Amino acid sequence: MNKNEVQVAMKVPENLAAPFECSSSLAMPEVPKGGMLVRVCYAGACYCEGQMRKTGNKPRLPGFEVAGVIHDVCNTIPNSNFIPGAKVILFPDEELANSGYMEYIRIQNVENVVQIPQNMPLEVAAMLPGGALLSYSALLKAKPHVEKLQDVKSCVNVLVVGAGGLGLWAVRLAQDFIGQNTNIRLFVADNSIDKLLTAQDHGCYDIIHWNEEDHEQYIIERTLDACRGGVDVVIDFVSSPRTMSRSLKVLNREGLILVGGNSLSDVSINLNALAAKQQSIVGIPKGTISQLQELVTGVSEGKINPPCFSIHPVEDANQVFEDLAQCKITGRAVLSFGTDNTAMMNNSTMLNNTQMMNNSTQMMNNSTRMTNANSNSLHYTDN
Amino acid sequence: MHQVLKALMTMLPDCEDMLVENIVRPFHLSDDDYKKIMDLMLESFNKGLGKESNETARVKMFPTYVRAVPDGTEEGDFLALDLGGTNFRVLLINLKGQEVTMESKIYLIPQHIMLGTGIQLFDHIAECIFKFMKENCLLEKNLPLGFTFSFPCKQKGLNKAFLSTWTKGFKCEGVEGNDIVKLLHEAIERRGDMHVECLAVINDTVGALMSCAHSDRNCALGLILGTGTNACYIEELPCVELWDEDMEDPNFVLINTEWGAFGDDGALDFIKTDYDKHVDKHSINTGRQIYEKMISGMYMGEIVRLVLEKLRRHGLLFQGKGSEELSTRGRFYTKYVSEIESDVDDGFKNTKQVFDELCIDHFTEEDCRIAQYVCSLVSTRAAYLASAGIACLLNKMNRPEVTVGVDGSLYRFHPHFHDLMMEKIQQLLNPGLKFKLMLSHDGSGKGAALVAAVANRLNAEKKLKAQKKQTDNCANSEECCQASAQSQR
Repeated sequence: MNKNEVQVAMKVPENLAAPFECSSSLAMPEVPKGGMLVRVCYAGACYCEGQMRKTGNKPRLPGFEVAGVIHDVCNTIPNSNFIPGAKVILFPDEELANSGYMEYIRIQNVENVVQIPQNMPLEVAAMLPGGALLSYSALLKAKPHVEKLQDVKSCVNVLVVGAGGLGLWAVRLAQDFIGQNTNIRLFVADNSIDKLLTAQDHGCYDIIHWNEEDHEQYIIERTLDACRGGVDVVIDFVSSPRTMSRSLKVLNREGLILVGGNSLSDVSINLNALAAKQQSIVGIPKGTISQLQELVTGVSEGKINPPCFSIHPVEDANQVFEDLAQCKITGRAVLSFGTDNTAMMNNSTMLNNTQMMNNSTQMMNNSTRMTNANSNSLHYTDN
Repeated sequence: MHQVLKALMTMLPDCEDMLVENIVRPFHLSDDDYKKIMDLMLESFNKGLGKESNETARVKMFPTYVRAVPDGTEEGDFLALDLGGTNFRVLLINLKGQEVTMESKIYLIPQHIMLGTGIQLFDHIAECIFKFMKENCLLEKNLPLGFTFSFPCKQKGLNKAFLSTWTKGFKCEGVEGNDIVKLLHEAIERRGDMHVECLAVINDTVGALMSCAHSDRNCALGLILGTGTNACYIEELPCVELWDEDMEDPNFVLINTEWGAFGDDGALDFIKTDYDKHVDKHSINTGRQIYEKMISGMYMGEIVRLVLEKLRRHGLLFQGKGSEELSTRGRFYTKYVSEIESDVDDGFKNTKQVFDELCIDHFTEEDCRIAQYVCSLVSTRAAYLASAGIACLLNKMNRPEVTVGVDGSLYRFHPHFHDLMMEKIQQLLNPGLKFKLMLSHDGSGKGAALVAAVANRLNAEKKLKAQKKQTDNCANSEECCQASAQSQR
């Protein structure tokens, strides 16, 4: 069945104004041998990706977090495993990295396909393979260190730098980790007040405004003021020279910094100081498929509460990345593909998991704050 | 044209330096210039204090109704509020002689509240107070509160402050011209779940003075050098011609000069540069706060940026190639000035990082040197201008020894500001007078609590005096004695 489908090509731009283009092509990809064809319904849009494309760097997150339905399966695969129409997400692998946003994706390696339960909406599932997985991986890496400190300290302070999608996932996932432990405190720092207020709604212990215009010393004072007793673990998804310098200045002895790896510049670190204070800097590992599986299970069972997000048609991708960069969108942004999804789009609002489970007043708070944002892309059921 | 210039410059190496000098020359002011500024400032101050002249005076010299500095007997728990920008702080302060302990929390103010209605703003403030009191188990108590409200206000009493005009990005309707204490109390009433009474409104300069005076009895001047600039000082009541309250002891009052407005009448035109004019033209309050725009953090970065851009356009910096960031108004943060001037060797580590953040790809060591030079000229002029103002007030007060309580990011974080001011004030001060510059720790918090404490003390003293007067008058009359006995029950 050859349809006129939309192919969105990602180009390294010469013109900064139009990083992404929508073009249509006629050719439907063929099902690869031993693989399958997945029709993309939703793809996550990550802020840092827009920035990296602008400067010509390759982002670490492969470019999309894809949720879709199985379109066709190669007949060498046993029927019972994968059925066309089943809802799936794709584990971000090198294979997918350079294929760009496409409506139909050829999957060679079916092990990268993770099925999701029927009760989970695709738009929520779309956020899992990228941002959620990376945040999950970061928290898992921090966990042993936090547990070790819990035994000797009355209070363990964890600072998340960046209140974008990754930061919000970290806040939500941490709630599952921390549980009833009141001696682990989660702080979120960001340049944008709006994003910080969103983070606060998601339940972190406190928020700290890292205003880029303020003097560094002032920012550090404010951070130490909020995080009494200093910071023990920093999860820095931004990892710029400034955030790293601030993190090192507020970090306690034997503290740990986890870095995200989407930095646009080189950072220089004084190794002597690091050694003297017995601190460590560790790269956040890429998540594994089994971790992704755990996330799917956690979300579908209601143990993990996804952060708020908004849905935008893929044709608006340029505007979405622009809005993400200017913090006009807080929370995750998810791009939707194809006209078949309009039914879902019309019903979509600023969603979070609690609203799906039961009505929540939190959604109201999120909706009213979003009135500043690009109202073309958001749909409200009530305001 | 650019090529010809470059060719000429290789032939005459001194030419390039001369061209840079030409562009930055307006920032070099002479000793006579600063003396002239001092004289003009004194004129402005007296104009503000004068009964007839105050109406048209640009420097308003508002009486603050604070007539006592802390005397060390202040004791107890006090609440303080600090509103001056996007951060709003609630503080719980315990005073016991020289000991001060503080608990505080910052609440961010989102954009839509800064631009919304006054009711929304004060409801938000009341909510933050409630949250703080709940977290600190204060809801059952009835604590006196001091409010540091750092926007230009006309005060009619210690706790009666009418907002003249919003500044610093705020624009809530229904507040200008109104008493902000009344608005606060109304919001608290609307909630009905806490007992809070605002005893005093001060601004950040008064906070700096009071906070410093708590540990140094010689403090008589409060100075703010941060996003904005302002000063307050102790003035004798007879000089304050607009004073409408009693003339008893204490015979002085703190005057909030609002000296940022100096020069609004053209007094500073003789030293105004094209860069100052450009900054003024593109500001929200064109034609106003001229003195402030030459000194404070809100504008310093922009002035430097304009000079760097001019040098670049003339091919004297970055070989003529800048960046989109460098061409963007407001993008050269004032903190860059402090950071660039903190570089002490030819490594220019901070300067290079700033260039990196501004996406300037190609630069030489010479570019670093020039950038540092420009920054130092602009910051030095700012420091000297502020010094002229301080020296003027010190000379006016004519006290043998005065400590100046200072606060603000420019003073705290710029590597040379303090030293430059010490040098310049000493030079401009009348012989025989001594002074000290002291960093005021957390004036807005501690200061507000101290003023509330002082207000509390004065209220109690007044009550005692009134009661004593009543019992004295009733010494002979029986009915009076019965009445006073009844009121004491």
